[in-house]
Amino acid sequence: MGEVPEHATEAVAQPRLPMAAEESDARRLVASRSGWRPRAALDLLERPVVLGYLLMLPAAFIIFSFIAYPFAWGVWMSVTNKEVGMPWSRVSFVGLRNYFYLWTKDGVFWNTVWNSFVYTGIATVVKWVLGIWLAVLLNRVVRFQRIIRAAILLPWIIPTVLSTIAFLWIFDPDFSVINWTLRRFYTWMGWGYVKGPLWLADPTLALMSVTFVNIWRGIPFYAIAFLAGLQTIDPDLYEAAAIDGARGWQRFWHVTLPGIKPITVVVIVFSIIVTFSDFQIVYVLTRGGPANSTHLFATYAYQVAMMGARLGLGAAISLFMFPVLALVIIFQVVYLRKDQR
Amino acid sequence: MRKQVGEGFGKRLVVFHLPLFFFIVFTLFPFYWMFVTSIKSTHETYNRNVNPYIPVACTTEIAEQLRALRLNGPALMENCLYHWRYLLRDTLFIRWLQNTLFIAIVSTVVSLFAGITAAYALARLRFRGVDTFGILIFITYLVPPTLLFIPLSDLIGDMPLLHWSLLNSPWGLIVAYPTFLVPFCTWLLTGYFRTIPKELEEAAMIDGATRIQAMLRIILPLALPGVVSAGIFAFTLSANEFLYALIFISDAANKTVPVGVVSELIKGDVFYWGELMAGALLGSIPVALIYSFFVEHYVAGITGAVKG
Amino acid sequence: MSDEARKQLGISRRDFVKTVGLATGMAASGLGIEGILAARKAPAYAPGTSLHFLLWKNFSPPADVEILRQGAEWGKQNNVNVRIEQINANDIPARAAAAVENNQGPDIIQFFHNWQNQYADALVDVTDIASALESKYGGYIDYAKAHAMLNGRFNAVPHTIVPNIYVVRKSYIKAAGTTEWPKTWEELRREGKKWKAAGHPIGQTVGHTFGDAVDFTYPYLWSFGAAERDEKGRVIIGSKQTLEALKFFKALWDDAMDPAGAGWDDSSNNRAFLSGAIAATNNAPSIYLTASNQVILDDKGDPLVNDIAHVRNPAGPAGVFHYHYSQQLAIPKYSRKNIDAAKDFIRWLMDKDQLSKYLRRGQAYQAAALKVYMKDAMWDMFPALKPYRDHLLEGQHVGWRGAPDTKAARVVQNYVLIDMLANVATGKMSPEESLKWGEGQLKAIYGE
Repeated sequence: MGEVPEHATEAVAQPRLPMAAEESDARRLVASRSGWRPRAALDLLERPVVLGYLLMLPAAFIIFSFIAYPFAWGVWMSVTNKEVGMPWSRVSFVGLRNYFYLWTKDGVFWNTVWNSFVYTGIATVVKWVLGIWLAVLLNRVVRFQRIIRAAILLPWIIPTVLSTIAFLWIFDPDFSVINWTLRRFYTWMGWGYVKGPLWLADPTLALMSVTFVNIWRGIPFYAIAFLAGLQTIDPDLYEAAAIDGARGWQRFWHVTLPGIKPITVVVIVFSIIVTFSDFQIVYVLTRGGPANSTHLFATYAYQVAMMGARLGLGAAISLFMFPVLALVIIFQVVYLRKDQR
Repeated sequence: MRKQVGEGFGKRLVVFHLPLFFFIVFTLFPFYWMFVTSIKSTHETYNRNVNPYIPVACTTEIAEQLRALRLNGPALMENCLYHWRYLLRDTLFIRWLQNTLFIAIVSTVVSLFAGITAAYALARLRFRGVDTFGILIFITYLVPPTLLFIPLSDLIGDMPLLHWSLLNSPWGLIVAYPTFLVPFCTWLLTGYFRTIPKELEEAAMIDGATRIQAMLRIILPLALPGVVSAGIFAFTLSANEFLYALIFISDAANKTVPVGVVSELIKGDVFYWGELMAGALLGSIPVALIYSFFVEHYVAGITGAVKG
Repeated sequence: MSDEARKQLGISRRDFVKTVGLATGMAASGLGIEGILAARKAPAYAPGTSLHFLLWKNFSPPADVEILRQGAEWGKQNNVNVRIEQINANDIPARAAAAVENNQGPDIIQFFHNWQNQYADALVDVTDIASALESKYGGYIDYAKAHAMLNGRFNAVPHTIVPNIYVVRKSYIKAAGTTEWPKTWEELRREGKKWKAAGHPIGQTVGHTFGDAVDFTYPYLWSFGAAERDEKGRVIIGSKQTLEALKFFKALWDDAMDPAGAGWDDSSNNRAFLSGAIAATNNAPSIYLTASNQVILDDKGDPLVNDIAHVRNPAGPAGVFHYHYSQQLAIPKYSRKNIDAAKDFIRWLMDKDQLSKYLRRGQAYQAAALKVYMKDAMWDMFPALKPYRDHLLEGQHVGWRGAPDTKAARVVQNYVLIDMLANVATGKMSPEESLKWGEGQLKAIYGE
């Protein structure tokens, strides 16, 4: 752990300082600038403000056309009594009534909050720890490097809905390959018959099972991101630490971990946001059951809004975490800006 | 693998080989299982007592053919590749694959374009609203698709000003996917642009190039690894997306791989496990192979973003 | 008059025939009554009319093929492009919600239970079709009718029903010492204990499914005298009958049922039964039909179908109850110019020829919502499934004893009653806690 990867410099595309070729490139640009284009327009484009707004236009267009309206719609829904098919003439503003209902009267909502926090919390921590560990291991790999890295990425590449269906079969109480193996093991050890854990039938186990699938799918993303981070750490730091007498663990703790702090913050924030709104895994495996022990915000909102036709209430569920997550994002943007100065 | 000074074989085994081995098994076991299920006969799949790790009918057939040193195509097809043949011949899987690739590539190109331009503005240019815009881009992630798909399908079904309906067409998805691809591409590319020293552009501009020329001729080529990694990320997310594709597309021939496989291979309460698993593998292995060529650039791209 | 000339004058063929027939007198014009009738049989829809029909992927695959064939036939006869889309039943509510909200989508949507009552105002009033069918064929089965109506008008046309009773492995229960199918829940618990001890428990899902979980939970509670609401609409779920039902369910679950059932979906119990894991389960005819069509063999190598018996639900203190979920067809109002075509198509599907073919080709998996089909020869073609017909009238509607209105639909769609049972089965709550929880949920939903 913590050794210098020999090919780090190749893997990181170091920006090259301008050399003679590029300087003459610039000169050629100047030389080739024809005089027929109106000066005023070009000068305009030199101004940061104008160019800035112009460059932001494509992204802004996409975001404001296709996100702003749905986003505003979602927020507006959550403070109305809108149901599917309800004509706009009958829709009325109800303030925070939906949120109040969820907070006090709904018997499933707090369950959902608990599940979401447990799911996101455990998944994030495990992905983080295992991700770093795997990244450190991958860093040492030389033979078959490409194929191993591609293989490790597979859980993240495969469409979630398809890999989750595979897990449906792996967790099936009667046909589970895990339970079959367990049964054979027990028989071999002479311990008698065991049916095997009820992966999706026991409330706690079910939550753990969906969390497990999320972890399985998410580790590659963490690992590859951390791997990249590891390769930015200056090798001299490791040498200095070794000279000072630091052992493997200490080098990891004092050099590696701090060195990947920026990537850690970014990856974790992104992962938390995406995991809180995770939908497919729970929807395919349990639909929120048994007894609502695996409902997350997204699946419960889907049930309330699509199956139960209460759009206002469903929107309120989806947006419940919004203030908290918004703060997390703002913190991350500010933190990263600070780090640069 | 690199040897550390003073690390004996025993320690290497415990600290490196074994954990790596377990990670690989952990990651790939479901894929092995998917593969075995796709070449097993349906009868074996539904048998609770038989060993699930070994496709008996298939391996027996292969062993016999090896023993007789004679290749019997049809028999091999019947015993091993039955599900693959059904998938490729009797479903619209190839069509779905084409649709998915088309939608993913176009969405990626659109998102990269928007991401590159926005990232350059955020990374390089100082003007009012930059920070707000940066925050706004990520706030959009907080409203989940499970809520957004209704108003989004409303928009897509009745495009503003044009009054076209893009529902049931790949273009509907191509319009919808950038909504979640652009923010992340922008973030990634902003970070990467920040690692490129400002001196390069300044040098070019001192020599008389315009900002745009500096951006196109000097910065972009250097940022290529970041662009590649953002593209790979966008491509994966597009190809995996499920909910929008389920709601927007109704014709079987226009479906994408995730939606098509799930809707056509789960008939009522019967799961066509062999075909499902074959579809899952075919929908992911090729992408993984492409990745293996780009993975160094991908890692480098994230590295750059990280340093920024 | 030539077609061209008529088109130029903007006269439809129907109008033309009517006018000419009346004006010139039937015999003289040679068009006669047959002519007029013939013209009416093929009404002219606008050229290029396309009808989009959204329904489930049937659990009986041959029925899927048949409905496609019927759609194509009607389309050809009437020069309409009929597009039939079959999707997973669980996805229908989401597609329907998106379609209704966006004012575009399928012209005919199939709904289960009383789902469509949640947005009845967005659906076309089809009382004309439904009432006409009622008078012609002599009445619907009452819960199927109740599910298709809201505020006195039909918002959907009752089409079919999927019945659910107990499916049993005769050899398993006999081997454990049971001589006849238990008559009450208490007997079931006692006998089931023996089956579970022998390795073949009863299989029942209490997960979030739209079919099996509802089909068991509702009649189970009703048979104890428990109900969501009374006739006046007051929430009465918090009664001692419900508490007794919950307490007993815990005992039944622990003693006789497969604990894995809490995580089952609608297909898991089929698989478990066909692979010999369970001795009995509440289900529609799909288990029998799969065993028969795929010639599934049991451990001894004999066809499994010979070992299957279909029996009624055990009785509770308040009697024997069943629940069979209805399937009805609705036309959303946004269809506008396709509404007439949609109405005609539905009328045609409900004709004796088409409906009985659909049910027979589906191998009696579904029953018709019309009472008269209980006498249909189809049941003689599949005698083993006759018990489904025998108990078809013993069902009630969701929300019983209250009305099957919007809020009752919400209760079904949010799995409230099912969760009450699941809470005690998994041990998450005690029967008392679950009762309180369920009462709170129902009061919140009904009280809004």
